[in-house]
Amino acid sequence: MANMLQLIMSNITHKPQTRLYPITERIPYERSRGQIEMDDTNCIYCKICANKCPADAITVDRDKKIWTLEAHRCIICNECVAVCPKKCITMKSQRRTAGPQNVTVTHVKEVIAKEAAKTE
Amino acid sequence: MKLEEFIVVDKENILNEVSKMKMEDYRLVAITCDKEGDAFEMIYHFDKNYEMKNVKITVDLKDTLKSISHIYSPAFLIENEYQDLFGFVYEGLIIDYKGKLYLTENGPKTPMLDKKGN
Amino acid sequence: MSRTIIPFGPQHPVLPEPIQLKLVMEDEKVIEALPAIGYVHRGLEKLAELKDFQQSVYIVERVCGICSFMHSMAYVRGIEDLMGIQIPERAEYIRVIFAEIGRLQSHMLWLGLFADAFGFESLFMETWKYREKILDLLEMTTGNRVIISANKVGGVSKDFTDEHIKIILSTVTELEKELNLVKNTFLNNYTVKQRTVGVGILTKKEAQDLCVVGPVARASGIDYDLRNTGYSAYKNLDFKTIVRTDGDSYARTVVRIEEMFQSFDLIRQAISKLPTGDILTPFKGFPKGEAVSRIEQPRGEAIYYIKGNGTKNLQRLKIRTPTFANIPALLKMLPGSNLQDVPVLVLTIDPCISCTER
Repeated sequence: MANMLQLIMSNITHKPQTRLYPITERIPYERSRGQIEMDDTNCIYCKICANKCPADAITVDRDKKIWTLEAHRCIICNECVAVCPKKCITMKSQRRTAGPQNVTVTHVKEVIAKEAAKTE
Repeated sequence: MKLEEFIVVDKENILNEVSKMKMEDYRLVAITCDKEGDAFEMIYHFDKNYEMKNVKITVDLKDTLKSISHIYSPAFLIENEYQDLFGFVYEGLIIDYKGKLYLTENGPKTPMLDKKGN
Repeated sequence: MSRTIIPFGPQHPVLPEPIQLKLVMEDEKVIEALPAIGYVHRGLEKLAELKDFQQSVYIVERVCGICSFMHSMAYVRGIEDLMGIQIPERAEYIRVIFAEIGRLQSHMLWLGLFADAFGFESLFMETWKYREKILDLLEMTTGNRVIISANKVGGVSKDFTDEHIKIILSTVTELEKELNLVKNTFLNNYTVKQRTVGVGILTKKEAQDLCVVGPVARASGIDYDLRNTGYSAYKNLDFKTIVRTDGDSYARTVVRIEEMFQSFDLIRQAISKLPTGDILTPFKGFPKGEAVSRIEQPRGEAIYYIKGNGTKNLQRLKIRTPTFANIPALLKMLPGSNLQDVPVLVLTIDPCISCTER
């Protein structure tokens, strides 16, 4: 009984342990895994990231130079970031926000795709 | 640790072997089963003082297997699971769910039997 | 006397995961209990046969959300035994540190839910407040709070910096002081003792017949803790098995609280002996043969049976988790008890039903 009273007294005099969420922001840690981001300037379409993904979230089309990510399948495990030979994929610490539909991220190399269409 | 030595018995003598283990105060750890060629191999794992002993029998799908749940009562849960997943039939179970432990009426039947991939 | 049947579950405020118990009652006493499970069966053993053996680490982690690190540790140790891979010393110590942090957060979660089972909500909120500090530790070092994905075949993928180690040690010291106060409230409070002493007694002979594992067995006098076999870095650490002989719910609470304090000590010992070096070794080849790997999870002993046939997919993966072995003990404790003791009894074996059903 006395122990619980002591706990209650220290809780009354302490400031709140919760944060007022949408008003105060929660700053993620440096190593937090939130979402992956891809920059396709150096991509060589080797397909290693698609082979290593445990959730089959990445599809790579080598002829048409298209790299697609289904964001709702990604489990943010960091495998694709670690194996990319040209370091095109990076991990950001902020999570994606919720929305009404599933998000699919597509990167297409426009110039080369248009030339391939012309020579056909 | 790698499993290399087994006590191989005939499927008729499994109850004698398990009763011997019970007399010597062994604890039943798990029962594992896998397809090897045309038949199935079941391994009973026992443990005492951190040392394991493994008893292996070879069974077929159309056999009626003898349940060990009157010797080791916690075995009823795992034998019911194999009735669901592989389609074996056990006799002498203390509580029998008859294939409805995990799977439902309009779900897939015996999902572990077909091996895809490989 | 007429009998009624009351369904307890699958949705109940006290249960963390769905399980149904049909209780056959006569007035206020339970005569018989029939379990029905299968509400969270996901078929993960079949999925592990369709994926690469290195991708299966991510599947095995998601079997349970509370003991997730130890599942991946058992799987990875089994594959390393089968292929004969020797991992660096620093990786062994890092695995032990994460495992003990995982044990801490699991016991704190259990303590909160147990207090909620007999209505003591303030204590529930207190212990979950302390659990937040541990989850923040995990997010700071690995990136995620619960499913940390730190294990890989051949070592670990996340390392500690000196800054991280200082923060871990200071959090552990702070938590030890705060938990001492909660421990006194729990173990010396009159109402807590009324609800737990003498409830759900399991004698040593019954516990051996029912093949129970974990703190349930240790509270009934069976001296069995797999960490004594010295797997991973435990052979260089110094600790004693905690055993009590009463066998009731109070003894199980005491065992789990003492294990928490033992984990604080183990984390400090492991950090002081942490060697330098790398954390991952490369390897080639595919697993072939059969192997068995056992590990001491917070709820008891878990066993993994792995069979490989020389290709990149495994032929068979079988997991038997500790709650699977403890459910028959629950069915033995329930008959003869009162209806108000049923939530306390269900929580005292620490049920993790998603582990049971994979």
